[in-house]
Formats: sequence, structure tokens, C-alpha cells
Amino acid sequence: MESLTEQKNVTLLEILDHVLDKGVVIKGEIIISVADVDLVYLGLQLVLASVDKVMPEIWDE
Amino acid sequence: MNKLFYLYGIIDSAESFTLTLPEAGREIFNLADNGLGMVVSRAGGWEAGLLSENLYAHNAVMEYLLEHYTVLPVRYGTIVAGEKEITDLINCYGGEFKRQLHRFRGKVEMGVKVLWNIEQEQKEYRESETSGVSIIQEPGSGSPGHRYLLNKYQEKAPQMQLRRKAEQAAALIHNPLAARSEEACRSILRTPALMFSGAYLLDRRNVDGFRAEYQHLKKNLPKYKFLLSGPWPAFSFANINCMAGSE
Amino acid sequence: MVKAGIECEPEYLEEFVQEMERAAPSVPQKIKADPENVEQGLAKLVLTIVELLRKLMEKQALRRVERGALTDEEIERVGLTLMKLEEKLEELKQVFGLEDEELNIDLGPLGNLM
Repeated sequence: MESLTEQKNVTLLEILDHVLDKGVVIKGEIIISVADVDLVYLGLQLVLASVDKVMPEIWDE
Repeated sequence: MNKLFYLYGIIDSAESFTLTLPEAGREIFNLADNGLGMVVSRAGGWEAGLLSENLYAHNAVMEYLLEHYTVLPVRYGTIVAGEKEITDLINCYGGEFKRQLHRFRGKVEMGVKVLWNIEQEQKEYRESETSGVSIIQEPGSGSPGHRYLLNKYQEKAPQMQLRRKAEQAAALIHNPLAARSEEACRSILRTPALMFSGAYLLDRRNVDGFRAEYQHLKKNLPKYKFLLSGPWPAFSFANINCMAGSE
Repeated sequence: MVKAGIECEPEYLEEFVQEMERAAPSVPQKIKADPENVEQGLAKLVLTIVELLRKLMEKQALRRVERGALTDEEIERVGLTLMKLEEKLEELKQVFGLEDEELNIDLGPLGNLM
């Protein structure tokens, strides 16, 4: 159902929008990204997959 | 041996517990100390990523915590190296965490997004007084600095006007909603069509009143397209930075 | 499945999906600092910040042009400065082999100054 997929997509995107880059930042000793020149990602950030991996359901019907 | 923990958030429960959350498809643990709990699950390695199943799982945990506790959300993707790091965090930042939990006690976040018809807005701009302001000089003539700046102005004026329009429309939406909230923040034109994006922190008991105000706005501003979401944990308002581990 | 309700007219869902996808951050820029890339990584960072500053100054200047708050002399002076800044930035981009799109490092809270 067209509308159901869209509903699902919007839900996922809203979760993404609320959850990503928000909340308390914990910086630790073990840092994956190269923290010395990393302005933005101060936390113990994981290697984040690219956006097309986020939305596989959106791209395939 | 240190274990890796994926950290969801901090709660106001000093009771350690283990819980299997079927909606999240995983087991969560509350590692408690000194009146606070750090809610974690085991992280296999550093691989977890932006896979939608991880997002849903993360969200499901947060929803559970919101329902049963006061929760201070932690940045998505945070992994702590072990139980010692957890204890360190509580020892260093326990006070700050408690302050934030106090701020969020009994509160939820609601989100509002509004789309406008960008072509329509641009059309209206063009049809109204073009370029609104008397330019001191024709851009074509004059010295280099003049020409540069006035050309830039001609180039950017429509965008500037549009932004101003968006600011005005945003105020119509944001102000009444913020009035029903304890805290609020908003951003404008995250994309040309996504005119408005707002987050509101309010007492749980006021959610119905907030929703009613939202419906009222929606009705009175029919040329825009609205989206309401929530209740969420206070993601957008949890903005502290902590250093874990020894210096 | 997700308790945080989403309330939206069904006919608008698709457009919201489209715009929210656009608004979503893409892969966070990890600045490589291995020996071969240190220079370029740093250049990207520095130039992104300079570009941000240039945009801020341009925005301020244009607002004042719009209000008619600048004298002829000031327009000339500010115009020349911004022009030279833009030129210099172009030069530096070329020196480091950077494209416009590469100066889009997410500056987090700094980026919101725009």
C-alpha cells in the first residue's frame, strides 16, 4: 500500500531526525574517527554507514 | 576484560536491572550507581551503524525508557569501553546528569515540521515589488567594489526575501507552540521546501493542549503542510558534553 | 510499532519524505589525517571555516545594502574586500585541489550560524 510505505518512511525519517546528532555527547579515550581534527563528532562515534544503507526500504518497493 | 557497551541514555533509577525488549530485539541493562542508571546493551564490535533496524531498536529502547523513567538521551552511536568507563562517567558527571534529569522529569518532546510551496512563494515574491529596495547605483556601472557588491545583492536578494518570509511564517507557528512549552527551539529552511522545523519540551500533562494548539494552527494556515510527531524523549534538548576516561 | 505518533495528511507524506531525506545529514565527514592526507584534510577544514566566515560577512553586508545603511565609500570598500576574499578562496581551493562541494564539512553548531 503506497500510503503505508510512505508512513513507514516518514516514521523512520522522523526517528532519524530526532535521534541523530542529538543528545549527550560522551567523549572517550577510544576514538575511531580521527579526533584530533574532528570538529564535529566528539563522541565515541561509530563508523556510520552511508545514507543509502539507512533507507533500503525506501528505495526498494 | 573490558566489555563494549552501547549506551542509550541515562535514567533516574538506581536499581540495576536486565530486561529483554522484544520491540528492540535485544537485552538492555541498567548499570546503576549513585542514584543514576546508564542503560546499555552489549555491543559486539564497532560495527553498528545507521542501519534502519538499529535505528528502530534504539528508538524502541528510548520509548520504553520514556514510558517508565525520566531519561536523558545520549548521542546515537555512543559506545563506552567498559564498566569502568561507566563508573567514571557517573563519578565525573553524576551531578550534571542529575540536573538534566531534573530538568526533564515528567516532560516530553514534541516535533513540528512545516512544508511550504517554494515555487508559489517565489512567484509571489516576483509578482510583488521586485527587488524592494532602491539600489544606489546601477550594478553595471561604477567601481569594482560597487559592482561586485551590488551584483551580489541582485543575485541574493530573492533568497534573502524568501528567508524573511519564512521567518515571519515561522513566528506564526512557533510562538503559540512555544507558549505552551517549557523550552522550544526551531530552525528555518533546512531545505527550500522544509520551511520550519521545531522541537518543544513540555510537561506530559500538557500534550493534549499542545496538540489542540497545533490543530488550530494547521486550520488557520491552510497553505502550509504540517507534520506533528511525539512524544519523544528530550533528544533536542539534551546538550551536554562529557569526557570519559582519565585525562 | 513506534509509539511516538506521527500525524500528517496522507497526501503530504511523500513530500515530507522527500524533504526530510534532503535535510538528513549524509555520511559524516571524517577528515583523514594519515600522512598523505594531513595537508588536504586540514586545508578542507580551514577553508570550510573561512568560507563560512565569508558567507557570514557577505550576509551582513547585503543586509546593510538592502537597508541602504552603507555609504558609497563603504559599499566600495566592503565590496572590494569581499571580492578579494572570494578570489583568494578560489585560489586556495585550486592549490589544494578542492572542489566547492568538498567544503561542506558539517560544522555542527557552527554551521547553524548561517
